[in-house]
Amino acid sequence: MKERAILFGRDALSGVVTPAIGAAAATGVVFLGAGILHRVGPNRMHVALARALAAAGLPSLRFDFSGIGESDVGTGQMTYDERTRRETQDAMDALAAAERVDRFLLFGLCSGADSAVRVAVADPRVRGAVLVQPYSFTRPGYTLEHYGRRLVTRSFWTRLLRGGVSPRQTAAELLRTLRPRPSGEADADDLSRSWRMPEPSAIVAAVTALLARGTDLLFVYSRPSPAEYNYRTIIRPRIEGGGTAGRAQVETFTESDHTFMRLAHQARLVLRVVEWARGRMQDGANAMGTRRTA
Amino acid sequence: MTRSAAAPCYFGASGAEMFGVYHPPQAAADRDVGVVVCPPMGREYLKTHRALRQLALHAARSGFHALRFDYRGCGDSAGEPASFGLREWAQDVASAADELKDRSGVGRVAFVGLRLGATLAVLAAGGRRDVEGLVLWEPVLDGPGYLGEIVDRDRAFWRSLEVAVEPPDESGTVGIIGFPVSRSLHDALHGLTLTPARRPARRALLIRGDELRGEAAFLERLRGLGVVVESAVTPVDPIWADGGEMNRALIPAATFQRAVSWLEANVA
Repeated sequence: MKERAILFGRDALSGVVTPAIGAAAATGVVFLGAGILHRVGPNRMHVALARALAAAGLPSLRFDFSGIGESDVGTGQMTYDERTRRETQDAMDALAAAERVDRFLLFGLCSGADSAVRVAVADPRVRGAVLVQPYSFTRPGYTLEHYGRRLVTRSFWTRLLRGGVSPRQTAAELLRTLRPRPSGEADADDLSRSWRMPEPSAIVAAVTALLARGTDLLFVYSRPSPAEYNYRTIIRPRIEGGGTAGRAQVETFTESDHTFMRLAHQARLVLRVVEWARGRMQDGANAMGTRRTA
Repeated sequence: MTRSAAAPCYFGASGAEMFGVYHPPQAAADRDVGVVVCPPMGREYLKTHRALRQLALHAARSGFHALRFDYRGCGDSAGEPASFGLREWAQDVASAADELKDRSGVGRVAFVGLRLGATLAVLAAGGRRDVEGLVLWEPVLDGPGYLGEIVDRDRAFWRSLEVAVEPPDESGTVGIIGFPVSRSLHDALHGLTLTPARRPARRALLIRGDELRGEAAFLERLRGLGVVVESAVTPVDPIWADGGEMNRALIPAATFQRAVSWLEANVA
């Protein structure tokens, strides 16, 4: 397996193609960047996944959105949503040309997962998506649940008594996240004011539309986390028991963090994603058959 | 918007290819010195990627040929980090210098390294005669001190989540802020005191904020080897350091300007 650096699309975005080893699928994987991290992903996650997927017969492309990592700032006036969608579609076109694939699985973490949903809704070539910590916005219900859980732990009271917890800071944090505000308003701490929590109804509409279309989704969460809370309270109630629920799978990691920094969790994530992606090849995503690559 | 003209590439031996980005000169002056940018390792590599790209662009705008690259087992390069150590990564710095010379036609090079990248630059330069200058930005001079620092950062992160630190795996590899450190690398860092045996370059600039542990002995050693050393004490932002927050990437433009101005005056 020999990876190749490419420039592609209208804005000459920078990416790396990882060809499949041996029999290659007609399905390719595109990795979407997370936040301002460049394309190797948090903890080099995208590189490890690309190589494991290549060994399973799936070529991939990891790339940098314009203005991130190795890609120059983009041209044209577009919203964040429009730009990330267009550039991901450019990446799909580039991988199609490089590795002769015609259908895609997307992988995204955090803001990359949110973008993956938007691209999947817009482009029927997307047959599945791994959504790691999507919609990672803190809502009041999570804050109450989080502090409620902490109040009954011995460590919280120990830290409080030792001065390790600032009551003033904790109260300020609580008030900030509990403050009523219109849906869709960006969190003041967000790097990009453009990256914001969609309306819950819009999240449900997108996810149910994808499942109804036959798009498979693997949700991956650390627990507890705002993203996992949003799945449990917004998405799960609307897909449970439905005819399409089998297309949605969920993997949760306890004692973890937002980007899975524990080495054991990184290894488990790679195995889980490869297993899921293999299943998508067998589910007809590879209906055009396989081919040998050099 | 003007394109940067940066050219991504892979180079090196088959099966052990390294990813690099060549930045051709973007100024009328086309200097006969190439600048090799040596990044730090692990989490610090991720945190400083954006800044070091900007540094290379600064150098290219000043007329230098510049090359950034990822060590084997790191970034977009082939391999796993646990398969390599300080010796191999110092060889990678040398390979990158050769690649830049082949690609650009320059006859001499300068190394600009940050943190452990600066340490590797010194190690690599000791085996060459074409290194005009070294810009050492907060170099790791004292391995045990560096290890203690990154382990403390790791522990503070997990403590903030009220989660136990991950134990080493069966091979002795430990995760430090998301990146594996093999037992052999750990031991190599633990035994590291940067004491060059041969003159690594004609000139060197040390950039640091607070005084570095082992700095006086290191500078004395360089001077003893005939290196003209300049030390720049600047309010350095520790752009490489954080706990878990990734969506912050500081661009210390003043430090870049200091480094590139020094290169213009001393090695061009």
